[in-house]
Amino acid sequence: MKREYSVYLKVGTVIITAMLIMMVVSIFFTPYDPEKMDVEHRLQGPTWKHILGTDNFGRDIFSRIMQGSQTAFTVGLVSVTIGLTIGLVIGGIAGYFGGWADNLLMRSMDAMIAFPGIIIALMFVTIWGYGITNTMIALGIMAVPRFARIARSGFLQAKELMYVKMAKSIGVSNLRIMFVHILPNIISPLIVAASLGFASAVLAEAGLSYLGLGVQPPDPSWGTMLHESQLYFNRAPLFSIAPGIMITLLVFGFNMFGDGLRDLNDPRKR
Amino acid sequence: MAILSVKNLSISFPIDKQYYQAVDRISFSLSEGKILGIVGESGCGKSLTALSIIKLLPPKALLTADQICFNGTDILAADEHGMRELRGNDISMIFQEPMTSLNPLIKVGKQIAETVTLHQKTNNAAKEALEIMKQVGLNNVEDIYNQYPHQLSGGMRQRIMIAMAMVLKPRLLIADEPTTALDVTIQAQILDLMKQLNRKFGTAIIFISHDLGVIRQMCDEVIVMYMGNIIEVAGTEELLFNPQHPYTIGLLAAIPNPSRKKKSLFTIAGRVPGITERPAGCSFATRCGFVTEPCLRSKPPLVYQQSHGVSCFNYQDIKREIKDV
Repeated sequence: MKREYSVYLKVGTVIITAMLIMMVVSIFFTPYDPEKMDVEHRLQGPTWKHILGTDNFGRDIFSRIMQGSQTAFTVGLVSVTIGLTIGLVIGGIAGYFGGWADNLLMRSMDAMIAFPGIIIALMFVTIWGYGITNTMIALGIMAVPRFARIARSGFLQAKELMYVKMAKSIGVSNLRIMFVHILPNIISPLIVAASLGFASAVLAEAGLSYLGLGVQPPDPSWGTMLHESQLYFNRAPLFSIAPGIMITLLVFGFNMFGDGLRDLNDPRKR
Repeated sequence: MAILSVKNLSISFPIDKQYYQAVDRISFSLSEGKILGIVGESGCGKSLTALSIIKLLPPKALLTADQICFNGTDILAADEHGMRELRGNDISMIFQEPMTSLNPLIKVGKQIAETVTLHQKTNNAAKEALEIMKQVGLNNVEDIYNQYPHQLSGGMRQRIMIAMAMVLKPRLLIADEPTTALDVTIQAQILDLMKQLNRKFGTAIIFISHDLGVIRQMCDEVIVMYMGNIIEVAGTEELLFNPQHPYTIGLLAAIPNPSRKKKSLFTIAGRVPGITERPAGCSFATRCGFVTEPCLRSKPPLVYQQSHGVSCFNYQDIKREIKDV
């Protein structure tokens, strides 16, 4: 059986792969030390030496963009992992066991969704302090309700299926049924949500960092770069445009990838 | 010796805060190595009865009984952990739909081996799985072990399910309409296989079906259920050739018979009352052609003549009347 891969999926895969390559390269090599200041050559336009110019401390923007991709991927990965894990446990308990646990857990998820995510994230960061770790935790918790809802509906449907009854009848424990028997069967919508969640985490991190509440300097982050660059937009437009384009591209890439995956699982679109 | 004895088992469900009895104080027992059939139409409580023995009733159901005793173990008192140890090990169950009863993402061999690893500390789970796969009549077991359910036919999947249930040689196998979803040739093979396993391993079987032909082929003893009550119980031949209860008589008369060509098929008049509208007296009173006044007032007890039990006030008169006609 030959599968048609959608344009979305292809575009998403290409962008994500390119970004991944850039991130891996940046671990071992950047043209300049991204944190090395050179005040004499500050706010330069693009030259052959600095292809994206330099920032207000004379640091090489291209090197910082490359380094910043590490932050973006780390934030995306860690916060999605946090959100997915907690969401899976909550949604699993709610969907599989039902009853009052379902009500309690899902109503609390509803309460969380009622607040705009960025406000919750702001609250966490304000309480625990700024920095990349707390940003990731905050964004992860923000993503929990979405994963919990998807997981719940999956478990809810699967628990009535015959193979679950069969598993019970040979003495499999509930925990094992949930994670060994049911989870692999309901994982695909969760993967799609993870991909889309990755995009929104990257965006939210950029937003928080732009507000000065996320990743703190001198750690390079695209959001922080946007924040630093806004005073110099007239003199060095690339200082703002470069991180902006990177954020857009990565978010776009993951959204495309997620949409493509979703369509792949959608029997109506086959 | 009885391997399973059930006394006054009732199962009820709440509808609008009121409990309605789906199974009403039934008692039966099953001797070691025997095959007990439970017949009845849909909704008469036969599946619930079976599920209550391994305590896998839906969570809403309310189970009460004076006794459910399996091989010396008090099932009523057993907790979830104790039941898990029993399930698959001492009591197994196979279900109606072989197409959906296997996990689509786990290799069938692994699913059989799981029964073993759940109950025994052993490294030979795969070997035992292969062995039972041969026993249930599969060929090329090494290949099939690594296949997924969608790669197998319905009959093969039913064999895999039987293998899952039988791999630890349980004392009791509950088969809930195991052949209903299969075509007739495969059905015959599966029945044959179950009978073989019954003889070879001495596994007692509770065989639930609505097909009297299948029951005749399989069972030593038959229980006829109607609306949550046992209305008749007897040895298979006795029940089929000397039925006493008007419902059983009607059921047997409803089997299409080629020698009565061109006559219209016999049916039992009326319909099964819903669970909320059950009569106070005999449960069959609403459809019985021989109903008398006591039938409407109280429930007839299950009266035994030797090993033939029937729950009807008038069965002797009915027998006479039918003979006269």
